Parts: sequence; C-alpha cells; structure tokens
Amino acid sequence: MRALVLLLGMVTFGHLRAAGAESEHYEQIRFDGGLTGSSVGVRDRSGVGMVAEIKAMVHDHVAVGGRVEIAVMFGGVVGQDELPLDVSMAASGLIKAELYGGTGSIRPFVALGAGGYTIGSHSIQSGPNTSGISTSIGRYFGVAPEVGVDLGPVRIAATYNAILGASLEVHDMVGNAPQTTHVSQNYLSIELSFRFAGGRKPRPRAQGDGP
Amino acid sequence: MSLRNGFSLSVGQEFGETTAGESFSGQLYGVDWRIGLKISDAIAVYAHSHLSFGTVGPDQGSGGGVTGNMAAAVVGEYTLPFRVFMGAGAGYGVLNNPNGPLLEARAGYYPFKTTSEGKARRLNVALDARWYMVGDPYGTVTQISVSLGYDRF
Repeated sequence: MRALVLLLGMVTFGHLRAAGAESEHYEQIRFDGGLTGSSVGVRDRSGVGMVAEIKAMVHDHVAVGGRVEIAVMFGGVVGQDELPLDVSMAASGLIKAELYGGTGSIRPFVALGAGGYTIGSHSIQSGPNTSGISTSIGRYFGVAPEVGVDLGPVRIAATYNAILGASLEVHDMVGNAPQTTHVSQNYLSIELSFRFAGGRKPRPRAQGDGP
Repeated sequence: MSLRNGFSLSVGQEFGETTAGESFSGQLYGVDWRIGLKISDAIAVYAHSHLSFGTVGPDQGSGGGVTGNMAAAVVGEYTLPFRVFMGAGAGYGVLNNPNGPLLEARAGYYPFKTTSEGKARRLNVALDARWYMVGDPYGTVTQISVSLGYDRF
C-alpha cells in the first residue's frame, strides 16, 4: 500500500520524468474503457456496468492510475422467506497499480486497487418469518484485486471488489429461534474493455529506410 | 488553433440545503469528456460534459438513495507557467431530476506530456467545482470533484 501511495504521488506531482520513471516501449498514458458483468454473493443476483481507467505507464511492466466503475445489481433472494432484492447500484473510484508480464501482444497482468465505494439502498419486502431488515447506504472503503490478460488492445479481466463495512442483514424467526442472514455487498466483476491509448510506441525508423 | 480532446475519471461530493433547511450530501463517481479548441499555447475553449452516479441522502435521519448527475458547460481555460491551469464556464446541469443552469470552475495541473507521431497527450489532475442552480426546493447544489484524466492537444 505504501508503494501504491508513493507511486500515485509521483504521478500527481510530476516527478515521473525527474525520476526517469517512464515506459520504454509503451506510450506513457494509457486509457481503457469497457463493460462489466457482475456476480454478487446472493443467490440469483447479478449485474452489469461500465468501467474506465486512466493510468501512467511508469515502466514497461508497471502502470499506476485511477479506475471508476459503476455497476447496477438486480435479482436475487435472501432470508428464510426468500425475499426478492430490488435493483441497486454500486459505484467506485479507486487508485490502482498494475503489474504486467511480458511485452508481447498477449500480456497477463495482476493489479490491486483501493479507494471509495458507494452503494444504493435495497428495498426488500417483508415475509411471514422476517422480523427485521438492516441495510446501509453511504460511502465505504474497499480494495479490489484483479487478474486479467491484454489481447492486443482488448482486455479481459476479473476484479473482486471487497467493500469493507458494508452490510445487509435479514433477521428471520425460525420457530422461536432468531436467525440472521448476512448478505455480502462484495461483488466480482468480469470486464471486457478496449485500450484507447497506451499501446506500443512505434519503432524508430532505422537509417537507410525508405523516404 | 487546433482541436483538443480529453477524458477524465472523477470522484466527487455534492452537498446542499433545501428551502426547509434540511441539509443533504452525496458521493458520486463518473466520467468527463472535453472537446474544443486550443487557441494558443495558453488559451483554450472547450465543451466540458460530465456524467456521474452515486448515492445521496439527508445529513440527519434516514432516507436517500441512488442519484445521477449530468452537466455540460462551455469552459475557457488559461494555462499558467509550470503547467498549472485554471478555467471557468457556464452551462446546464441535471441532478437526477431537478435541473437548471450551472456555473463551473476548475483548476489543475498537467504533470507531464508525452509526444509520439505528432500526438501530444497530457495527464491532468484537476479539482472541478460545479454549482447547479436548480431552484426550489433545493436551491443551489454544489458538487466538488477530483478528476484524473488526459488531454490530447
């Protein structure tokens, strides 16, 4: 985490060139945008969304920058009464660092992001055995490990969004015994995106090449 | 004079107070798009559009929910020495449902630029302030965003 903050600080305050932190073979600014499909830890609940990332290539194998993801979740049931969950939304803004393997057109990578999340409220109908529902909206801190592969300008990746402190609890009465179902707000995003900038630099023309 | 084009990611906070005196605030995450003209090395004029989603609710008590903001403004920008820039403009904005004219001010920094094959891309870090004048019952709502982006000009 300390390295991530340090690298972001280098980007923010413009010491990249002074430190010589620049990719040799790739354009220094990278921009990706695409769509996501999300899976939530609730039965039958999933989502769709969009993602955008802007990064600085500080090395052929390292990029640092920011990521914004907006996902809309729908479907799913919770609790003893299998209460249906309403549509909700999760949005995030993260700083992240990526580590790439190789310099070919197929480049696997791992990444780690951290930052703010906000989650919309859930509407849940009451059931005959449901004694209470606790939900929360607001701003949370979260971390997002990611693995993926770049296939030329196309990126396929999976990101696990671990949102700390966000909770949804459904309190049921099973007979006379209270039972609480904890619904995780964490979600897995599968991403298909396109690189709009940040590809390989053109090779310098050798002496004696054509006009 | 030449074309300039750019995108940003933004993380923002909005806040305001209703005419009944109830304050509210929200957090929004979104994207910006800028397209316009570089008139000289120091001066540029561009259309600055913004789209963000998040949650908003009253500062006291319960309630609130998902919200989305849209904004578009014509902005004049002046680049100072040391790659610092300042800009201001006016346009129109939508706060989920209420809408109205808006004022915008921005200040930021181009940490570096990279040039290849005649293209010059600049990374930018900016603070964007927008004041949506949506009228009753919300009055003027302020949105402050930190953005990270790049511009090509």
